[in-house]
Amino acid sequence: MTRERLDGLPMHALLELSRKESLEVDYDLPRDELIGELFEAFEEDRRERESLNNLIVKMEQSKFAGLSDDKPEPTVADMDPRIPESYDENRISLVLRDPTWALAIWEVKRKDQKVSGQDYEFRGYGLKVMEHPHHVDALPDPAAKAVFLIPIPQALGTRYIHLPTPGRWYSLELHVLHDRETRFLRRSLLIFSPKELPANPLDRKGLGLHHKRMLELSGARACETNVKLPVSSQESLTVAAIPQRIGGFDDPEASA
Amino acid sequence: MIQARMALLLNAHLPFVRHPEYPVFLEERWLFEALSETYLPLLRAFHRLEEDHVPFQLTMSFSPTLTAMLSDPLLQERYRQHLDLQLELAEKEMERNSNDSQASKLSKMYWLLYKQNQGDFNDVYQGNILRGFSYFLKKGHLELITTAATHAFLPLYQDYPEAVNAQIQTALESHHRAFGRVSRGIWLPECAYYPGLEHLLKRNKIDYFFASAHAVLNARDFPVRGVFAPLSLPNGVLAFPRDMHSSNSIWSHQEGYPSHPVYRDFYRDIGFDLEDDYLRPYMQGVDGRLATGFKYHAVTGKTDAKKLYDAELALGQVKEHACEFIADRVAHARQLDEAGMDRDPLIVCPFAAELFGHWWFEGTNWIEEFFRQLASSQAGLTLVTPSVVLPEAAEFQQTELSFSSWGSGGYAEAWLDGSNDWICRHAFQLVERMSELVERFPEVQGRKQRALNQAAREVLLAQASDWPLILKMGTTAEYAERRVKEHIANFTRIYESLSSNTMDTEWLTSLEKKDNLFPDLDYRVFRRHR
Repeated sequence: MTRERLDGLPMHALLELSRKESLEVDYDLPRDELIGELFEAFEEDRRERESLNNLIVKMEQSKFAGLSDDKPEPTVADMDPRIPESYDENRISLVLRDPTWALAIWEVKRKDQKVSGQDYEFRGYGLKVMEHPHHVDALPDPAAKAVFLIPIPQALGTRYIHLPTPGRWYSLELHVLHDRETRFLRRSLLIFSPKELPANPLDRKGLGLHHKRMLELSGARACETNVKLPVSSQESLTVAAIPQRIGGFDDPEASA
Repeated sequence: MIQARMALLLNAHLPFVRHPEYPVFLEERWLFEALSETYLPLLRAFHRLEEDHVPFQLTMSFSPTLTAMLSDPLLQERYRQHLDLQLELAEKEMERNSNDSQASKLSKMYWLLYKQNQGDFNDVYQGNILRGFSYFLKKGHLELITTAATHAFLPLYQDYPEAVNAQIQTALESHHRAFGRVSRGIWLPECAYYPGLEHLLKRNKIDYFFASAHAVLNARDFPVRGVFAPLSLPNGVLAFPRDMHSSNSIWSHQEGYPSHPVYRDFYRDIGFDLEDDYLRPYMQGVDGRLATGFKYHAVTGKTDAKKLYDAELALGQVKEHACEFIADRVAHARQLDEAGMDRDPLIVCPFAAELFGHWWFEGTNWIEEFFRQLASSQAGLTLVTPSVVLPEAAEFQQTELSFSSWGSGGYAEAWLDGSNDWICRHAFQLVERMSELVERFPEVQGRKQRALNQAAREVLLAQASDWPLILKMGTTAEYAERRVKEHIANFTRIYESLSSNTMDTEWLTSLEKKDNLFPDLDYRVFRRHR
């Protein structure tokens, strides 16, 4: 848990966390102090976990000492690279995964989190899914309609969103939710959910016999959309195997 | 007689893995194994075909990460060391198996394989096998094309045309540097297309790409010739659809050729069968076991009691499978003719190159045998490469394709799920920040320019499609995660250094030496598209 994440949480969520952490706090404790106490408690947990982990690592090292004589001494290069937890920006992206699912990625910058958090009517954030009848070059689109709003407690996160109608354009808006209103923060670019097509192109409506025959000869029954995702097997876990880009060979047609 | 055309494509790609900071590095073996089992045997097959005056033609795509590694002196030297070790192990194996004539024969087979590789690598190609492929390009047997710079899954970046353009432009420059020729076509990584991508292809003077079968079968308009003719996109770029039937002939688990009982089994390896002490010098300091490449058993069937491999039997089967493949394509062309196909079908067969030889040990022999039998038969199948077909563009149906890939499920399922979607936030941020840097520093020289170019390299490296796929499959996931994080961290450090106007030159130099691909890269390739 980072201080930024705590900053982004509404007051009731902070109080719930302090209860779970068994912190005794007064309900009139200022927000900043409550965040400080929570942060310290989480840090203490983290330090405890790390010390246990190190012990395990040391025991493992001693077990394999006889085998690892030739291994180079750990260097800075062996350390897990540290990457930013957040970029302190208001942002939202919508990434198409398949015709019915897209990944939402959002972040609220710290300053905005702080402002929102000081408001007792603040209830978190929301993702508003907007459906557009046509492609537009510039947003906002007056013809767009909000199809649903997903409340999200965190100021930073990812979530898969079900796109209700294939063959439409979608965008996503990031809002701050208050008791009586919502405040717009940011919107994503448009994505197009491919039109609704049967997994098997032979099930496409209005096909004549010739068309069906051509689809069959084109391998419609075996094309990529009919292939299930492979499950990695013990065999495919061979360390030095070349990464299989199309899937495991235990999968009938996954590999090409 | 039925007439049909056939275009075979081998996509050669490996992620950029190069670790000068370690004396040996396990994942560098991916390259060494592909060299030993795929690229060098394939070149030998091409030479034999040439010597016997067998006409052959195919398209190969080489990823820029692979060409960078193949022409890298450090990796070349490490491959030489790898070959020395393999030969040492082969000699030990011949001695160990001296009382078993069949096993001894197999040990000798591997000794010969590595000895030939050593000779070819050092004497014929002077360490750089790209020379070999360039030779066959010049002879007209190969059409060489590129793929995205670091094999990024491009549909994920459709909000960032500058990132997609950087992948394409860098790839084209890299291809020209490696082969001295322009690439007219592109292998879209994972065959992944999104509507609008053709504009960036056209802008970069790319005439064609390959598309998955379902991209075509689910196109805006019904594809009247199915997957047996290219489709023309509205801006004139051609899409060559993949034929699933020929693909499945080889890679179907149930019916695919590599699953035949007489072929060599991929999994059974002495690295998992023999004593620790015996194997230790060849385990590269790894705790545990490692596949050595010495595999003595045949597929046999669904049993642990595998029979010993018989190379002669397997090569006999290769001939049968090459014959069967040709006969099946001809039969298919006949069916298309009977169904009223209005022109000679074009059967497009794209495959991952490394699966021939590395996975399917006899695969490179099969390719050779396929060309030999095709040349001697009156089958009516003619080999072509896409550029031969390009002048016919006006005759092809025009339509629009949909978002698609050749991965399982047909879209981005493998490259975007709970195991790997954390990458997107950072990868997108890197692109935005890189474009911001281009605006802030439109014209700089010296150390700042070096830093900006290195930042651009790190952005491209973080986008490789290999890492999310490995994370999804759970194979060497720790390494994949570390690689993505390293590139994000390296970029972020450069970005922050440029913001504070301080740069650790020693660190920058070490990074340039480590991630040393794309030497001609100009960071301005990330200029925002408006």
